[in-house]
Amino acid sequence: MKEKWAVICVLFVLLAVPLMVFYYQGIYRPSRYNVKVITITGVGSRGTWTLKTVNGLNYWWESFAPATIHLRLDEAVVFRFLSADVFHQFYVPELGIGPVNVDPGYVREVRFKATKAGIFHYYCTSMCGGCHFYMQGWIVITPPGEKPAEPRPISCSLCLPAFERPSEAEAVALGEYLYQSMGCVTCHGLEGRGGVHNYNYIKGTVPAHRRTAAKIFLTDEEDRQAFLELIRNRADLVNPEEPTDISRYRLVMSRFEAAVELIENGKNAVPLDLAGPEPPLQMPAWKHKLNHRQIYAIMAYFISLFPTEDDGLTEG
Amino acid sequence: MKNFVFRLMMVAAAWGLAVSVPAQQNVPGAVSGVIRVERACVKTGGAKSYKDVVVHLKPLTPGLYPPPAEHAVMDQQGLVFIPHVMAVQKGTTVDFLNSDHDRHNVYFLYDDTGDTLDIGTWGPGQKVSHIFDKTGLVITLCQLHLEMAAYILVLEYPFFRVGEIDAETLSATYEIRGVPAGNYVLEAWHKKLKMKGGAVEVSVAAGETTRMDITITRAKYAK
Amino acid sequence: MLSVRNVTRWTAAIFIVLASAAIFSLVPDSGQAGEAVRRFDIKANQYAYDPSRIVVNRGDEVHIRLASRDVVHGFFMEGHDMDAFIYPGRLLFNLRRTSLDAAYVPVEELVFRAERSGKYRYRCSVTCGTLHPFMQGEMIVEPNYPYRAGMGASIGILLAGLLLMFTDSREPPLPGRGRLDLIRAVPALGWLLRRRWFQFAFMLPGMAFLLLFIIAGFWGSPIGNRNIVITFVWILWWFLLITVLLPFGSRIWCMACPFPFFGEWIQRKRLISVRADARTMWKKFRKWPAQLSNIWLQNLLFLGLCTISAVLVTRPVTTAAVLLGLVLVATAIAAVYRHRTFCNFLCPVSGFLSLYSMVAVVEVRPRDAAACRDCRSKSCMAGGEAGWGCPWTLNPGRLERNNYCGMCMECVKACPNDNMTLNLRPFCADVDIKGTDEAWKALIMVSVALVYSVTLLGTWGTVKSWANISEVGDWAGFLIYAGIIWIGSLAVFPGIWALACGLGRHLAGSPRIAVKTLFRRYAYLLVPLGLTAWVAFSVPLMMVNWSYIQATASDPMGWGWNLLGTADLAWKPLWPEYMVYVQLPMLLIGLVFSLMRGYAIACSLWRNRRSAILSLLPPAVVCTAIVMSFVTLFAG
Repeated sequence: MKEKWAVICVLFVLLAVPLMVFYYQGIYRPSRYNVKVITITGVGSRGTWTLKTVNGLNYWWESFAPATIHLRLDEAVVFRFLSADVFHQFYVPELGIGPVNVDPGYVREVRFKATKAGIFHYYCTSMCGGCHFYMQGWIVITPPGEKPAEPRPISCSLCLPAFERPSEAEAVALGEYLYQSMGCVTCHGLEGRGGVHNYNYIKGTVPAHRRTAAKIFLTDEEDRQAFLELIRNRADLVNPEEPTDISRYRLVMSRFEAAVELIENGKNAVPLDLAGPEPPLQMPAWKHKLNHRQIYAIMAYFISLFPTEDDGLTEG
Repeated sequence: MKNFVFRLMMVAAAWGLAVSVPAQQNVPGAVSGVIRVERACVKTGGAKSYKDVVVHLKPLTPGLYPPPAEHAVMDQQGLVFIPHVMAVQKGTTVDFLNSDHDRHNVYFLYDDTGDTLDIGTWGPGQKVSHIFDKTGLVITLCQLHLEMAAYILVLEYPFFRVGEIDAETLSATYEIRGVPAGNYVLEAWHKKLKMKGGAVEVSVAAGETTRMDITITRAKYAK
Repeated sequence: MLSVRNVTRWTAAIFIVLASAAIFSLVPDSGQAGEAVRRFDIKANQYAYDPSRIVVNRGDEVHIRLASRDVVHGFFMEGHDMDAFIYPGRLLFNLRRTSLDAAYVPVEELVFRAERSGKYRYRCSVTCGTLHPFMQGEMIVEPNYPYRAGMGASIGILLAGLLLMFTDSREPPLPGRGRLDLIRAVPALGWLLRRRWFQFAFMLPGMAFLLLFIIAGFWGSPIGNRNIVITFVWILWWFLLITVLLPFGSRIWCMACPFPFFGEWIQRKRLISVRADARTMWKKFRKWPAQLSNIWLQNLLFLGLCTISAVLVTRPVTTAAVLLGLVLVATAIAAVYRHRTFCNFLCPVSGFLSLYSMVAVVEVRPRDAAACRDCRSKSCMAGGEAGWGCPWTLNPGRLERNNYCGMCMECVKACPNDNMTLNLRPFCADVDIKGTDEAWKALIMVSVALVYSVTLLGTWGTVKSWANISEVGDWAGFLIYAGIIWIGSLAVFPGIWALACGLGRHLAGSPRIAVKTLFRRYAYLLVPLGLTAWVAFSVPLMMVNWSYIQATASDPMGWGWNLLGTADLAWKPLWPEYMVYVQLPMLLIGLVFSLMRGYAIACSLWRNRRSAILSLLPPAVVCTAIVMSFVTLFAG
């Protein structure tokens, strides 16, 4: 008699535990919201915000596609933000969502009503690893009756096998390597051409770097080459003997040092509208991740980007 | 009796003439003209455009021209110096404002000597003034925003005008008023282009406008 | 025995311990009681701080600037009421006073005065990846009195122990003789232990939790500290097992363990009742091979799990996979081999439970040995109407040690003469290490405790990276790490122990007793010591991560549930600055018991007490050195 009851207890437990878990999660909890629930999980190791459920098993092997969130105009939703590994921050400046601190293990809920149509850019604005700068995507809000647009998802291209780190002696090559592998390229553009939109930034787009040589008064080709040689050969540029082949050397050095300091300490993006949202793309401080030699290499790369045929008349 | 009155009238007329002739000599003239751009494309839009040309006169007989009491103003807004090109007379005080959303720094590079001068860093709403007491080109920079640049041409004499090149016609007009009669050397300054043929001599007659059209072009064609 | 001599001896012994502690604390003094201003730039990265150790003098004003090299990290300074939040790529970091529970404020540097001496760890307080709970650095405020007192006390205990041994006038003492028959003393307990459903009542919830853990591991959050499988297994269960269940319940976990649940069900085809053919049915099942009928397999399996421990205890899916794997193996083995073969010879937990159960204060023993000798049916072994035969293949009537008794109480139920009972007894009452495999287990456990204390509770990021193989991928480092574990446990430490025993035998001057015997018998010294070292290792885990248990009780899967209202609790350690005051007494108590029992073993081996003490001296010195190593790791 007792044996039968024991068997029933065991079978009950074997069935009840999984059923209760999945019922509570899959049916009961969603029913308590009267609006659509969109769960967005930040996966730092892949550099994506994903709509897929991330669990203990698939986190390790699945490549999560960046989420494109589709909403209808005038739709009210609840966003539930989760992190699968580290601290992230979800920010959509154009829609006024966030920045939402997504602490790993805690769920943040944000209510949102889609009041304007269009394609809006979402970002992760807290450095969360190597793929951080690519952790962006699109929210598409479509008016009723129209077909939703399908913007191309932004995916990370840093872990390409072709990447081989040049030696320090090749300053310009190392600079180019770091410019790409550290993620600078995502905001400052391929080959420093800029053009990346930064919402509510006073200049509109993230600064380009093709004319950085001009900004530090190395407009002359010979001066540029001499300065690059200086970077290559000197261990550090503090208190060197003044070379005779670079015109206005002291000015160039003071401007160069100002640029290096900016890279080291970062800068807050000046907002266009002081009452508006903070621009999503901020220049981070790199002093803890890059040493002086590496920053000089990046500057060497910028200097080398200056177009030699440029006579300064057609470019601003 | 008639003889005396006639003679008195002659003396009065002669005296009046003698007085008025020099007075007429003091009526200032003007120089005006068209500045044409030749064999170059010029970007006229944007923060750091090439549209500004400074035309200035230097008298052949030196004189003393006190600087104006009024301050010139250079503002900083939207991470840009406004105006991009400015001309002032030596001794003028320039007020550097900050109407921007960020702190700014102003830093001069004296083009002829290569010396530099940092006049400080200040926040929005504040201003710093500086008296320019040396002639020459002063390139104005900001160490916090390396892309910012402005050009201040400090001139000895107050005879200058900043003209703006129009994108369609690739030319600008200028008029320098209040020029006392005499002989001058006219020169044009541009960020990149040079005056074709070099400086020219100009004569200014009292009360008259002398016309002088000039051409600016690339340095290699400017001989 | 309260004679003047004894009182004097013990007073002298206590005095030596205290004096030694005091001498070490006060001399040498590091000199200035500083009022200096000390500045530090501490950079955080996954999973260590750089510098990982800062030393200041008491009274110094400390300025710390924080930065992060990769992701958001926290900085919680124990005992100093401050918690910082560090964003990478920014020069300012956020700070708040934990006691005020206020909001974070951006600052440039932390400033505080080092008022109290000792060791204060700074830990990461924002989940920053897999090894986040182990990310820590340490600040030493000199003079570090707890550390010095601990070192002094260890040496003092050794010296005091030697004094007591040399001046001992009694007959060679036997380990604690007193026994309290719990079933007679507490009839309700007896009633409970005799119920057929007794074991089932514990195994069923265990099985339910196991199922929940496996589901949580595979389908729940990948973040370890928000998943019940990690928090309840590696923090709660581990802590309870080592600190409470083992010393106070012997192998009581084995009674409730869900691993063999399905296997035993398949074997017995019963959950509660006893089959009529309980005595004969086992013929159908094989016997485990004799060469493997020792704990060597468990030793190796345990070492294997230890090698991947950094991955195992931080990834929910790994723990769930190991749990599931063990269940499947246990079930498969039970289908083929008789009784609890898996538990006896394969379960990695069983290995150390067997060793440390010798310390426990409870035991299952026969009341009257004579009655067992005269018993014909031997139902305790072979089974009977009232109970199954011992599933641990023991002869309960001749049970002398706790090592392999799984406390299932079948013998208590099966015995026709009601001769089996549960006794209360002093600590460390079983002192007989019978097999070389057990001796090596003792050595392995101490080595592994040291490795874990260095890897998980230490501040060295390089070692953690080596151990964290599946994330970092540094195979060269991992091989070094694995090499240290295996060679240290199986060659270096046993080598040292063998040398010590050899030296001891030489000092005692008796070639009749083999070094092998000493090696094996004296390995018991490592048992109380090892258990207290593991307790000292486990206590910080609980004190620091207690709030994770509360949070995951509400949100077991890390899906955002809040069953009990505690899911949003911030991480809040329980007075971690006092951790040292729990760990050091534990280690010293372990050393005391080791020496006491070691003395008893030595006297049982040698007739001449002086030889006995001299033979014990080198192993005792090794034990003291081990304790001092742990004191250095935990407090220094």
